[in-house]
Amino acid sequence: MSKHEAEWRHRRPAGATVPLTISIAGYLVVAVVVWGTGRWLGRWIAVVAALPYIIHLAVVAWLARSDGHAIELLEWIPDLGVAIGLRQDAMTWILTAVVAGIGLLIVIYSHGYFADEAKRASFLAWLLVFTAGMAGVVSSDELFGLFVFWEITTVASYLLIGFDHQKAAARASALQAILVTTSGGLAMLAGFVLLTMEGGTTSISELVANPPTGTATSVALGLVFLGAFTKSAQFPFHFWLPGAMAAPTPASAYLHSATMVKAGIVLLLFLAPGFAETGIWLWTVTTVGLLTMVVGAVAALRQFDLKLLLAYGTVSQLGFMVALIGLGHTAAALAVLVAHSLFKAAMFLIVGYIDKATGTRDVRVLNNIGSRFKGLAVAGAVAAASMAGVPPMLGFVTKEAAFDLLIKKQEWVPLAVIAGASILTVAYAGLWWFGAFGPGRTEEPLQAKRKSPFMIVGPILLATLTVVFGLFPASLGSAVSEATGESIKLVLWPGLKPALALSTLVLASGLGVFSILRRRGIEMLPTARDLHLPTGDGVYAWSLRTLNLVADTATGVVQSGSLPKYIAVTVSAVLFIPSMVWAFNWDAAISAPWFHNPAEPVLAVVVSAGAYAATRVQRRMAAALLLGVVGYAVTGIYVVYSAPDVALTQLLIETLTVALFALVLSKLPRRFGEPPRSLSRAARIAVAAFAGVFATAAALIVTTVDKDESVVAEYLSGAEAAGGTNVVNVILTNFRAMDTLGEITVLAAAGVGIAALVGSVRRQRTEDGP
Amino acid sequence: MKVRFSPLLATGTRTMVPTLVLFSLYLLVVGHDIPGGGFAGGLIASTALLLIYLAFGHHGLHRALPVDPEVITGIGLAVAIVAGLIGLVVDQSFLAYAYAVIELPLLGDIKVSSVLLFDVGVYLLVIGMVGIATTHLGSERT
Repeated sequence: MSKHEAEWRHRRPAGATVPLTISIAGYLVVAVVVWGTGRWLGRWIAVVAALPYIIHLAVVAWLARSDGHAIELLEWIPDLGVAIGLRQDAMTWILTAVVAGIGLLIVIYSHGYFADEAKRASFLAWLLVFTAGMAGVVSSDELFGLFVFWEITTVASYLLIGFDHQKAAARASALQAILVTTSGGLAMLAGFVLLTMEGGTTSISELVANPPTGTATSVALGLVFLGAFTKSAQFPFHFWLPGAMAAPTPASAYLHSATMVKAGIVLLLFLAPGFAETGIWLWTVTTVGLLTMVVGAVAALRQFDLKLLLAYGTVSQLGFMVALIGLGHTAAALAVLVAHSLFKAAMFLIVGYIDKATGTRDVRVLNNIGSRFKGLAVAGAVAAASMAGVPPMLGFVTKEAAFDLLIKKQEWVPLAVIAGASILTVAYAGLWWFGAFGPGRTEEPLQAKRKSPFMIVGPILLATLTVVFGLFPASLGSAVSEATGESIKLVLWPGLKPALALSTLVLASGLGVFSILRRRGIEMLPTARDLHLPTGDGVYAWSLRTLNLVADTATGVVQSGSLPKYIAVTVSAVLFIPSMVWAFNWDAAISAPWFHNPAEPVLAVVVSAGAYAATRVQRRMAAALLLGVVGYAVTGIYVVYSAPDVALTQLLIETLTVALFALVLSKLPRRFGEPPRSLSRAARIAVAAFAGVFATAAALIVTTVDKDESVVAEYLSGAEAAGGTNVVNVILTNFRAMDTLGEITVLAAAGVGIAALVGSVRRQRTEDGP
Repeated sequence: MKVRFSPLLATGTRTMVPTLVLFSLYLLVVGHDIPGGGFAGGLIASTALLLIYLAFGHHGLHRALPVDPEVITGIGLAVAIVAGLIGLVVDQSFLAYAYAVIELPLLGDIKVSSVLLFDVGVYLLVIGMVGIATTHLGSERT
């Protein structure tokens, strides 16, 4: 046990409670059940899938009543300090309510969304896996446990984006998302390792209580930011999120707006108490957040697809939260997060309904849907109003609180940028609602079919919550204050203050922008391509192309296809490097005796003669047999040195090798052909001489090096304890069993390789044949 | 079994294979105490299979051992891993080992080591591996 580790153990609170751990494991168990028994459960599958969400919510509600702040600690790999730690505190309660609560609505929605029961089952199974990961992320206290949960959400997201795997576009989007987010995730892992080394703990709560400082910490934070920014679709990594809209709409609503993309925000919220004061935090996080907010809002204005509009809107709102965290306003950021989850999930679910009902999400085609689906239109209006910041919605209350904080702290530049982006938010919120429900561009009526009532429950409930929390925001305010340790008051009527004036100004300007765009059409705005701006998609495609090009070039150089070259490179490398290390012991090697046993010179002559003859004979089979002679003579040397195990193995290997040679050689010409032209005779002689000299030198040095007798004694006594008298075998199966396992795994892989290679050649021949 | 190449080889193979297999099992069992072990045992057993292949061809081999060598390789690796997992479950450490001396009537004290299972995995994997090489590098499957 290292010193560090002893310290970690010492400082960790002994949390023996397990309810959160069991709740999260419940999702995984039910995922397996849903996946395995989907066919029999039929229409009841959604009920089964809803169970862990309900249990999780109940457990959290019950835990939240007590004042304890325990951490459920589950040691995983104690030697590496890897553990799963789940925190029982206000932060967990709020975020779990969002994750499990909206998740439950998504399950209900999916029941109506997927007509095909098999599809519904596999969707719900992956949704449950995702929820387990997400629930783990939002309640994690251990860095590496958090990382594992984090990557569970990445993989689940990949599978859900590519859910319609028959579509090439869906597969490409899924690949893009997983490449971008796992690259960030890997950087984050490196950052976690650095943070652990600097801070001396893997626990987030301990880390922020005693935050390390210095250059290494700044580098670590930078790496962690990469993970958070890629996950939360921050500029310039935001491009994967619009692509992720290839996922089924319930997945988009849940993963790509309400929960998973919040993981980066959540991580920043966790770390903010310890690091928000540092320079790198303030500048990087704030700048990236503000940029993202503007870029997302501008892009959202120019979308015809309702879902893409929401995706860019999500990018913008995530930027808003990141900017607030950058400035240290964590409570406000958490409040915005909750508000956003409520209204954005509702909007996505509504788009999914419209998509199913009419078969399109294009604002140029949709026409007067609002008159057909009045309840949905009202819910949509509430959600859009919350996004735009219209009172009395929760979106208004949280944005108002943020404005108030920025004015109080006199952070004028961020305030100006956020207010500007908010104007655009008002505009695209209007464009979204009128695009979805308003009168269309054509007179042509659109066929619209009523869909399952299960698809209306979610939007209505979310819209209701948006209004209720907007009217009575005090409890949410005190909850986010407790969670972040930063005091904030959420109120519906803040009084006649500058913030209210700003809100009014933003709303009015936003409506102005909206009415211009609505009248003249959003085509008046230029696209990124019109402006010749580099797009994220373009950079992504370019990096993939470059990577392939480098790989191709490297393969072309390394894999020349010439067998003599391969052998030359391999032999030189294998012998040269270790020989260099051993060259220090040259004196002892030179003074070694010629031989210890008179049998040695005889065997040496046989080995040399066999080897020389193998190079001279013209027939392949003869050469193989001569190599066998060399091998058997070497066996003799092992016998002389009384190493029966090695001798036995060498003997058997030699026999089998010759026999296998015979099998292969029966397919080749009997005689050797022309000498290879890819490597000149001189070069081949040079490599052979080099190999011979270095192998001899290495053998001499190894055998004359001072032996550490204590190692031998240790092995002998260890073997006795392990109950074996054959030390060689005890080493293979007891002491170094892991190495043996590795070796046989390589052997098995080689077997698969042979089977695949020979098999493919045979198939090719059959296809090429008549 | 149909004789393929030489009656001499066929007769020799018929005589030797049982002995070879028995010897290979012997090496496998005693490996912990005297020269032998899963690897050497597996190689001896492979030699027996190779002899059958040379004497009776692909069909002969398949009749003597009606399991694909790829499957044997996989089972071998799985057995070795399971042996490791047992250590993990029983002793909290992957590939942990223990041994016991059991007294049997007539046979006397017999030592049973937990690593024997691991060695059985190695044994099977080596057989499967040589089997793959033999059947794939040998003549076409006809």
